[in-house]
Amino acid sequence: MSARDNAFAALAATRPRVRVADDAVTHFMTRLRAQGGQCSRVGNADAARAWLAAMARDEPSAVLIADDPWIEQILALPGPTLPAVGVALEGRMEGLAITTAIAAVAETGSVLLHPRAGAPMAMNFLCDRLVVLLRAADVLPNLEDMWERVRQRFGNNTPRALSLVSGPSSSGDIGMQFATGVHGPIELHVLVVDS
Amino acid sequence: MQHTSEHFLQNSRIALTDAQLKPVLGAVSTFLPALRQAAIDQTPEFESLRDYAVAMKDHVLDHLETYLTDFERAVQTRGGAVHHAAGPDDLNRIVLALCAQAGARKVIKGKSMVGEETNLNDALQGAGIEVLETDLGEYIIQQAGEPPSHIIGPALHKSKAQVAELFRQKHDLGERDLGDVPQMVREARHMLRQRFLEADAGITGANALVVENGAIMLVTNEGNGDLCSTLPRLHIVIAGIEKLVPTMEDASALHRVLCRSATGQITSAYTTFYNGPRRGEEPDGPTAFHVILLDNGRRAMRAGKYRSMLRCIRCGACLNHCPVYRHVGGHAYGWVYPGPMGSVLTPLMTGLEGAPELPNACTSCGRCEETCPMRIPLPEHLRQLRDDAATAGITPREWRWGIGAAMAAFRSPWLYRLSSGIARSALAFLGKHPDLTRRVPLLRGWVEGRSLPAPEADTFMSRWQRRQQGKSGAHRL
Repeated sequence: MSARDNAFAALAATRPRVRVADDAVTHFMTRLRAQGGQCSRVGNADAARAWLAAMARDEPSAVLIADDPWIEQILALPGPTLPAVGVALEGRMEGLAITTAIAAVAETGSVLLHPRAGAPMAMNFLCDRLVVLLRAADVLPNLEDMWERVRQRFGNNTPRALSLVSGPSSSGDIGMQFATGVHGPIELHVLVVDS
Repeated sequence: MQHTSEHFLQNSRIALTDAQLKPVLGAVSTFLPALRQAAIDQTPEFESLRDYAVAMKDHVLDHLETYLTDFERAVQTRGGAVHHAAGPDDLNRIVLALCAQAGARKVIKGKSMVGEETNLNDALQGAGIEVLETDLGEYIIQQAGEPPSHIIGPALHKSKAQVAELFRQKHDLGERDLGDVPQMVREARHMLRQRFLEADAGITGANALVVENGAIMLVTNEGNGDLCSTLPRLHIVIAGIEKLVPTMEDASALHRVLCRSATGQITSAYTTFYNGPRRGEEPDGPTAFHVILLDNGRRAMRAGKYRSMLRCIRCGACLNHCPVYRHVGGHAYGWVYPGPMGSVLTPLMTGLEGAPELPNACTSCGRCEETCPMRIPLPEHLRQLRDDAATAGITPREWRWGIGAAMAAFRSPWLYRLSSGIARSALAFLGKHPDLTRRVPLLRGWVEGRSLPAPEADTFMSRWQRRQQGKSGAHRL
């Protein structure tokens, strides 16, 4: 190791973390709500299926659904049909979109999204309402834990984008007043599924 | 933007009489510090987070050139390219060349202070390229044809009513209600959406450049930066060379102090790490990824006594806590960086001759240094710049005479006692006759916006002497 790398290794060993008080999932949900996000927790896939149907009930147009084995599995369970369109790459991608997160961070109330086949990055930012499905076991305490997870999962082959989404699109640029839905989702819903 | 730092005093006088500006600045200087404090109160680790951020950034600055080389290699490994720009014109030239190469005629931009530094929008428009700012604040000031007044909230100087008026002028949408902020936000969303989808190139800044994997960290609340980085076929990142951090964890370490200091958030709504163009299996994203690194005086800063200024993460906390900024606002400073950090950066990047008054725009109250997450000794840098100005003979003659007279008085005890005694008596007299203060030549301007403080009944020295006599020589601290 070079002198630089030795100096950095010594420094990195002192990097502080932010303490997460309660259990990670509770902390995550509290933080996300404080940031204007909406968050629900269900016990199993059947409950998730019912929750998704209720969410899509009032959707006037089609629902954008990421091509994802977990979502497919949930939607295969009995329940009302969703007006699903899959993800159209062309077009404006408005309305309701449903995707999954590979991890979440309790410290910041963030879900980690990334582009992959069947789940373009743009859908997370162009839709009006974004629904993110998350396994309770994937909620990690700190940002450091999340980076460790990313390294384990992707190694050197990281996707083009790793996006921490921690609330709906918002701005305080006019009169310092908090308003949502500037360019991205007007609403962010995270559904935590226990098993 | 036009550089008017030379006219700081004149600009300030105009700002001080701007009745629209006063309540807005008052709100900025009250609201933002309160948000910051609330976030810090929730974070018992804040001081150690600051310490780490400072130590990490100092380490990077110590090894800047090797880290730059490693960053460049990491970007290339992932199919991107790195370009180096010595000055503003070089950066603009590279951007234009990249746009020409890609046949890009429509450009969307995320908020970038480096872009403001180089006046990039003018360069793009000059070459016939349509450029649209997409951060709501930047969009507002672009429509108004104004420079930013705050590095985080570029349009904070505008009231709600002024923005509504501007939207009515610029958006041909007929009769509609724009009475509240959500309505205006929805209108901007509607106006910008199609432009996002049509753009050929997206230009964003970077809040950090990650050496280990060539990623850039992009922090926004609106998600506009993510659309700029994702929808067009070309993504150009422009950033200062000081933005490097060794690892993803270090970028997150900076992010922790940045969000708390800037807007009192625990995190921004969106924090995305982009590296390289789209991968083979990915359905969207640009096919070309370029990072342009700007020097513009930064290497010179690194080599000298102003090195700690390169720790700055552009959070704006020093602006929000500065009593001078609070009264004159961002535009008075005359260039892209206002407030304490701007009073240091503007002379260093554009020359002290063109901004001779900025280092004096300081009361030495120390709040900027206290609140700076990167512990930059801003008052000391401002003092050093005043020293540089005096040495270079830039300080006006009258000022030098005044400083000379003060030095003589401070060095001679009897002269100091005499002059402070006279000043005290004069202030006491004027305190009893406030109407007379307007007739005193040097005081007139000062008392126009405020009242003269009443002096103590006595000077410190004479009170001390009396006290010592009363105690018959007994020492007490």
